[in-house]
Amino acid sequence: MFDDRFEQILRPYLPFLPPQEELTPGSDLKDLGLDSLGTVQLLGTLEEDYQVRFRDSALTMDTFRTAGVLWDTVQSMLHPAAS
Amino acid sequence: MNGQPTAQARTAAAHDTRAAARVRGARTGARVHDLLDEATAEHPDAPAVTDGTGRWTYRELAAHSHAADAWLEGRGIGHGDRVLVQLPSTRELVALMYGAARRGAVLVPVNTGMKDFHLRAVVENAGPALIVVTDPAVHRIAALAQGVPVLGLGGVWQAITALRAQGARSGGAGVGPEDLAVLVYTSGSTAAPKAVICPHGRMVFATEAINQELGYRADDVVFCRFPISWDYGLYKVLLTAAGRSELVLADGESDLVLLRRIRETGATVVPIVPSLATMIVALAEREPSRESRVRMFTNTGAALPKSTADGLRSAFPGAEVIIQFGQTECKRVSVLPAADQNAKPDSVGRPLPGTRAFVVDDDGNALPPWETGEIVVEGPHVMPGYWRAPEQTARAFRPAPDGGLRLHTGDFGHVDEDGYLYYEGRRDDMFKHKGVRMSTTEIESAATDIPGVRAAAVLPPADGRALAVFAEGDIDPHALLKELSLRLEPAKVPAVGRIVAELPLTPHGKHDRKQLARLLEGTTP
Repeated sequence: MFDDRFEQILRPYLPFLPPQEELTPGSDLKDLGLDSLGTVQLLGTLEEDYQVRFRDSALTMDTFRTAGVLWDTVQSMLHPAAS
Repeated sequence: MNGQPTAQARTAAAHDTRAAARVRGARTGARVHDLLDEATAEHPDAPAVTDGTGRWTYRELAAHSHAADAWLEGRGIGHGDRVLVQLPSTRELVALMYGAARRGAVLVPVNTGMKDFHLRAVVENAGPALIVVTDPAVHRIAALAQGVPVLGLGGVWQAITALRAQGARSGGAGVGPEDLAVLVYTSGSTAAPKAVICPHGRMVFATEAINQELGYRADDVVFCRFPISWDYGLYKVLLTAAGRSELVLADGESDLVLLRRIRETGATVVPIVPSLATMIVALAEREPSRESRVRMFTNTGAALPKSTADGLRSAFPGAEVIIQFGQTECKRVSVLPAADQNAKPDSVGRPLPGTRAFVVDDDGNALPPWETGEIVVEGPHVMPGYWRAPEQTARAFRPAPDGGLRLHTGDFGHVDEDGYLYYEGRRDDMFKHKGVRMSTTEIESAATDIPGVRAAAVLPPADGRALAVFAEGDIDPHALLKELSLRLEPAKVPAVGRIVAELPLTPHGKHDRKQLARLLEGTTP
């Protein structure tokens, strides 16, 4: 599972996710209201906050499909050896 | 290309093009495909259109459009027949568009995202003789097409390619400037679909008049992120032909690679709407100080916040940000040239050359400068009305004193002494408070200018209810009102400010003012 910080960053971009509802790795971000402008802004926020840089190959809508995939992508940049 | 032209040479070239165009003036008697044929005659081997899979020169595009014309003829499509297409914005669609124009047929391009419920109504209204869709959609669309033939693009394109290999030409069709070229369905808030009738001559006039202001030229690469089913995308096809420029069709690509694609394609002109501009700025912040050839952004759709325009200018040094204003009913009302931006930062520009736009009162009398009224438009770019909707047509398109049509835009605003337009809001957004006429739009745009405010909605005053503003963001309600008082004249500052987690929206994505009103009642004892 992801850390609190990740969830805190993500939630403001998911207007259809009620505060009391859990964010799961399988949650489809588009269904929760992540639009294309939100995706671009989320990318910038994640990069700034985690001090990472998404590779060009990761700049696809697939990367932002679910919370789990996005978390794995961030993790793989934070801990390149582990992946 | 052997080296880039200097900035000075480019500016000089731009002035030459604009000057030449102004001398000639926009034509009213030309057909849509004349634009393509003229570009082809002048620059046959210049790039015409590029999509995700390749590029055509003007010669290739013209040949494909003739093959599309011949294919349509073979399908029995003739003068005035509607051809409905629900297709992604690719080179094939551009060829079909010009092919239909040559045939004298009427292209009806609909958005690929249009739902069956809406599409069924469009089919019923347009009464097409033929429908072309992507292969996987054929069965679904055939089920709602009421017996109209539905073909997949795969097979259609094979046939057109074969015809092109033979250098096929149709038997010709007598197409005149009054003939209809396109029906543009607008995404109105009403349930029934509504299409603006677009004849050849008026489309070409609008295109050439716009290009007198924008000055597209042969070394331009125009990056179009919008679908051809939207008139903003549709006219990019015509504008690039008028300018002998290259069109890059980038609709359907991931927005995460927007900036990279703008750079890779060598784009020099990027049409934007505010949300697209915000994305470009956000992406540019990740990769500052990289080379780009962009010389001009052109905005429409909604007011571009100053911060976004500044963001574009700093991310793309030397690029102009041109403000435009319009609606499909006349394609474009006005353009604010870069040279006027400092003197008139709040204007949406001057009427297109050869057209008029001014402001009238409820009785249709022209109002003097600075008085607020409805913006009306006259000229050869005003379309003849809505398709099969006489009542709506009569309301918006009224007889002008000079015998032409006067388009009532439903937009409110004023003009200044020089005839430049200032937009204040839609008819529905206007209200009076403390004797002053104002719009929800202007108060909302002042609110979103405040740091910490992500979005804002204004509720006009009513019986027992004061003027109120609702905002999403990290800000105290009192600070919100205080900041608004620094940005608006006193009568326009709301009495009530509320911070909400999320602004309620209607199914059409507009502010749900009924919900907002309930929110206000719920918190007032």
